[in-house]
Formats: sequence, C-alpha cells, structure tokens
Amino acid sequence: MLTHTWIITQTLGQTIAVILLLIVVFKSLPILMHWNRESASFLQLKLERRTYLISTIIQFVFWYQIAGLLLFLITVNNILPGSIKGAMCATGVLSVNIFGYPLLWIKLIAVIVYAQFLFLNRMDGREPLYPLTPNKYYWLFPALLLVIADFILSLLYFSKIEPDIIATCCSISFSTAKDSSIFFIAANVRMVPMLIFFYLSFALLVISVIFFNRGPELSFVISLGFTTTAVFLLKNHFVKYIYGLPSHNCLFDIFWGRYYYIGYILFSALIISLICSLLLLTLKYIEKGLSAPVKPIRKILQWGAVLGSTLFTLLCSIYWLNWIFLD
Amino acid sequence: MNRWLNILDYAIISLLRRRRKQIALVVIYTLVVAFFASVIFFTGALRQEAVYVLSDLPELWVQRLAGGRLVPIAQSKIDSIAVIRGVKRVLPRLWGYYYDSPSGAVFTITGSDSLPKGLKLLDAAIGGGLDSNQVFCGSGFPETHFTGLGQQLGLIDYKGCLHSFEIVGRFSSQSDLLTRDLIILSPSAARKILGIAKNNYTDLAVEVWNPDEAETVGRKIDRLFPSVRVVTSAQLRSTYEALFSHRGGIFIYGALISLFSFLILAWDRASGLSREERQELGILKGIGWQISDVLWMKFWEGAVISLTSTICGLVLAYLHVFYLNAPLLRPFLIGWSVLYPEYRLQPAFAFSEVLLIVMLAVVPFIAATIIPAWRGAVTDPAEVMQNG
Repeated sequence: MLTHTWIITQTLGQTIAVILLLIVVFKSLPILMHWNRESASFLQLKLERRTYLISTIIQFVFWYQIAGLLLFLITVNNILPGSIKGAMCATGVLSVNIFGYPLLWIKLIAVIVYAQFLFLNRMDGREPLYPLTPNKYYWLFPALLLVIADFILSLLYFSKIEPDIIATCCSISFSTAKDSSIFFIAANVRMVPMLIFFYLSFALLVISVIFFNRGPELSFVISLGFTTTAVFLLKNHFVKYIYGLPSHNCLFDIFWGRYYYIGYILFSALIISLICSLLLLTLKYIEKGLSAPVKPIRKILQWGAVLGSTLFTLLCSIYWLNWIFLD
Repeated sequence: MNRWLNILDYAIISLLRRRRKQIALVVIYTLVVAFFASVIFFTGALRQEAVYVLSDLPELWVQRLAGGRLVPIAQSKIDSIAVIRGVKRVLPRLWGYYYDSPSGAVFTITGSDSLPKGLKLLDAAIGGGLDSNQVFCGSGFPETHFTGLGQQLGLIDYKGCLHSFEIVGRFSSQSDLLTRDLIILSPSAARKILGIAKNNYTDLAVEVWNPDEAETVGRKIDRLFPSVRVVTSAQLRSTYEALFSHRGGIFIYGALISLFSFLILAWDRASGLSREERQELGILKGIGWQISDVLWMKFWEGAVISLTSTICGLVLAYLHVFYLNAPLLRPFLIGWSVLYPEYRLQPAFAFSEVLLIVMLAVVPFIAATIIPAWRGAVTDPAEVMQNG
C-alpha cells in the first residue's frame, strides 16, 4: 500500500514533521540548560534568537498536523474503501489491522499537545521578559514522542494493509455485538440516562465556564465528561437521526458529502471546546507570572469552550428533534 | 491584521523587485508540481473511467481451468449453476483474441447475435440480429484496413481458411475504451473463427438477484465445481484500483526525487543571501522590525512563490491531462498495444485531489525555507550595515 499517492504524501509530510521536530528539540536543549533571563551575555542573545526559530517551526508543524489529520480522514474514509474489500468507510479501513485506531488517537492527542504549546508560546511572546521560557520547552518532548509514534504507526498501518483480506465494516461490526465490549455496552445501556447526563453536563459546562472563573479544574473535568458522552451518544444515538436510519451506527459516514460534511463541523466544535477548557486550566497556572492582562484571552477561551459545545449540542439536537416532530 | 497585510504587501513588492531571480525558481517549481499533479489527475480520471466501465458487468463470471490455463466450458454447467439459489441468469459467452498480421494488432472477437448491453452503434445497416456473414466492429478495424460500413472484413479461422464478412454496424467513438478493438460475429461464425466446439463456451457470466450475495454465490460455485475459477466484479474493481494507484504511486516516487532536488535548490537560494538582501534585512531591523516581522515577511515570500507555482502547476496539469489527453503519461500508465483507444478523459476534479497536491507541493517548500529564513531574520543590523 506504500505506493498509493495519498499515503506517499502523508508519509512525506510525517517525515518532514519528524525531522523538523528533531531539529527543534536539539536546538531547545541549550535553552533548557543555559537560559538566564537576567544575563546580557552573547549566549543569552543567541538563545533568545533561537526561540523564534523554535516557535516558527512548531507553528508550522501544528498547522501541518491539522491538515494532515484532515488528509488522513479523507484517506481512510473516502479513498481507501475503494481498495479494501468489504470496507465501506473508515470503520472498515481502520480495523484492517491493529494499528488503525491507535494511529487516529495519536493524531488527535498530538493536536491537543501542539495547541497547548502554541498557547504557552503565545502567552510568553506577549511578555517582555519571557516568563514561561524555558519551562514551556518541556512540552516539546511529548510533542516529539507523539510525532515519532505517529510516523512509525503510519508506516506500520499503511504497509500492513492487505487489500485482499476482507475487512469487517459496519454491517458486521454492528450486527454481532458480542465481539466488542463497546457495542455490548451500547446495546445494554439505556439511552435516556445517557441523554440526561449529556444535556446536564452541557449545562454544567456552560455554567462553570462562564460563572466559575476561579475553578477551571472543574470545567475541565466536566468538559472531559461532556466530550466522552458526546462521542458515545453521537455514535450510538444521534447518528441514526443524521442518516435517518435506525440501524446505522457508523461514526464516519457523517464526514461524507452526502451528509453535508456535518462530521467535520461536529468534531471541530467538540475539539475546540475541549482544547479551550484545557487552556483555561493552563491559564490559571501560568497567570501569576504574567504581567500583561489575561482577561481578554480568558474571555476568548471561555467563548470558545461555550460556543463549541453549544454548536455541537444544538446541531445534534436539531437532527434529533427534526425526526421526532417529523413523525 | 493590518500589520500582517503590510508585511504581505512588503513581501510582494520585494519579490517583484527581485523578480528576475525568482522566475527560474517559479518555473522549475511549476514543472515539478505539474508533473505530479498530472499523475494524480490522470490516475483519478482512469479510476473513474474504470468504475464507469465496470458498472455494466455481471457480478460473477465462471471460467474453466485445466493445468492453470483457460479452457472452454461445457454447456451442461449452465443448468447446474442456474439452479443455485440467488442466481438470476447464466449467460454463456463466446470470445477470444485474434491476431491480425496485416495491421499487427490484436482484436477481440465476441460471438453474439445481438448488441451487448450498454453499447451503442454509430451507424448500422441492419436493425435486428446478425446473420452468419455479418459483423459489428469498433473503430479499430476500419481504420487499420481503410474500410467502412457495407464493405468486407476478412478473418482467418484456426484451420487457416479465410472467411469474409460484411460490416453492418460500427460502434460510436464514445465507447472507444471498450470497443476500439472489438469485432462482434454471430455465435456460429465466432465458433468457427475461434475454434470452439459446439456446446462449448469460453466462459459464463452469472447475474445474481442481490449483488451483496455475489461473494457467497461465487463461493458455492467454487465448491461445486473444482475445476472452475470464479471472478467477482468487486475483485476486478479492486484490482484496477490497486493497479492504477500502484502505477501512479511509482510515478510519484520518481517525482519525489525531482522534488527533493528542487528543495535543495530552494534551500540553497534561501540561505545564500546576496549583499543587497543582507543590507535590506539590516536596514529593516535597524528601523525597528522585530525578528518575528522579518520571519513573517520571509514566510509570506515563500507562500507567494509556492502558491503561485502550485496554481500554475495545477493549471498546466489540468490542460495536459484533460485538454491534451496526457500525451506524456498515457503510454506508461494505461499499457501498450498497437490499437490505442482514442478516448477523452472526463475531467474528474476532486477537492481532495487539490488538497493532496497542495500538501505535496507547499509543505516541503515551506519546511525547507524556514531555517534559512530564520538565519536571515536574526542578522545583526549593526554588523551588516558596518561590513556591508
């Protein structure tokens, strides 16, 4: 499968990302060891100049990874199902070998880690004294590990796809629920308590983000709960109303043009909401060292967390209510 | 926002000022992008063509093998297959290849008394079925033999005897990919030319009621008759898919080498700053530009160059593939034969393909110019202005 154009492009991009991050980590080591804010030595000047290179590269890699995630989704959802027997969407393509789903998770986690670093970098850049340097550079190590893991998993995943092995796509994975615990749970958990929990956690999230400025830990925990429930319910409840098919529980078909690419909007809203609540938490811990006002930043993050979750909840509910009132 | 626009404005003006230096870079970049964009467009269009062509095929076909080679299949198998549950219809087929020594081309001969499904005749002298001395043919034979409708077509049978047929119909060029090398004879004449005994057929096409069951029905047939091979249209589809992706991929690997050499050029160009450029950077920093402003300016310069080249490359590739019919890639990607089907590729332009090309073209270029740009941005203004 490594001769597929889409896979070559991604592998090339991943290789570039690994090389750039290795350079960045290598260049950041002297900063971690010798950074001294008070010093006016030539070394300090050199290190200060170097911070620009590091933040530029990380920004570039971050945007590439966002585009790469999109490219990966298109590959597994629209391009590869044509080559893999039995696969109709990403569910089948990702499960052709054991590396598929871990790869998707790694890519998602990496986006969150980059967002965290970029935020710290942005906050640091606003200050004349760089209060967050060099500590923010410790975030480069998980970023490097993730990008290397991403690279290796991509290579393993794509090279081990065998087009003649029949993939078990939605038709099989949903009818034989006993194979997989998550479907087992889905079949047994009553939807009503989950829905109550979902709407409750949404309300709590909005209230805690807007009114409890001092307790972003609480909002973050609620946000985690909200996101998990949201993905679970989207897969087991809301998608049926998006497709208009009671038996179709596929999480990936919503990314298709047939359903107006609604999946991209839903997941972007969810990820933005989660990242904003995480950054609110980060802001609380770095706030003390910052001299510039953080209020406008906090406002933006609050809006991000609230609007993201509201958009998700609203869209899902509209699909659901549309079917209830249609009948 | 305004600051960024000003920096972008400055970057464009500065690029235009040094446009002579940029032209060579943009031209090579455009050619590299045009090459791999052509491959991507071309394989995408072929893939679509294959899907369109294969959509009319029956779900299964059954061939008899002996010693790993295809041999005629007996008529008695038709009845045994037709009773399998799920089978709609079994259509026996008569076909084979015919080497025509005057033109050096290989034609496909099919025995049928009516027109195959989905094919249209351009002009026909008869309305109904074929007589034993009449043929329908694609555009290949008349072109290589300078004949036409109503004239004679000579074929030599497997014993060496010449038979003459009247051309009573020709296929329209829209279906050239399918019919360019096709000659349709009546079943009895086809048997004579191909040397297939009575009650024997080349293979059987099997239609099933529910296409989802094709795989299962195929397995049943396989189990019932040990000497047959069952091919499903799904298998064929993934084979074509894999073939086009594979051939396209090999081309992309080739293009990657040119991309790398281009990147080295770009890297070299970006790191070797001329005296004026260094002075310019020094002055900018002297009048208060921050390192980040200079980096942004360099980034915008790179973005303008790479986007211009990518767009030019995309346009070139589009013209090459869909307007000129990919003269540079065709011979390598679709196979080789004396009779090339003359067909136009349908423009298949997917947003995802453009995204792919942009990722392949822009990401490596920006990555290669980040570090040289930073080196330029951290130039010490005093030093540059003193030393020049």
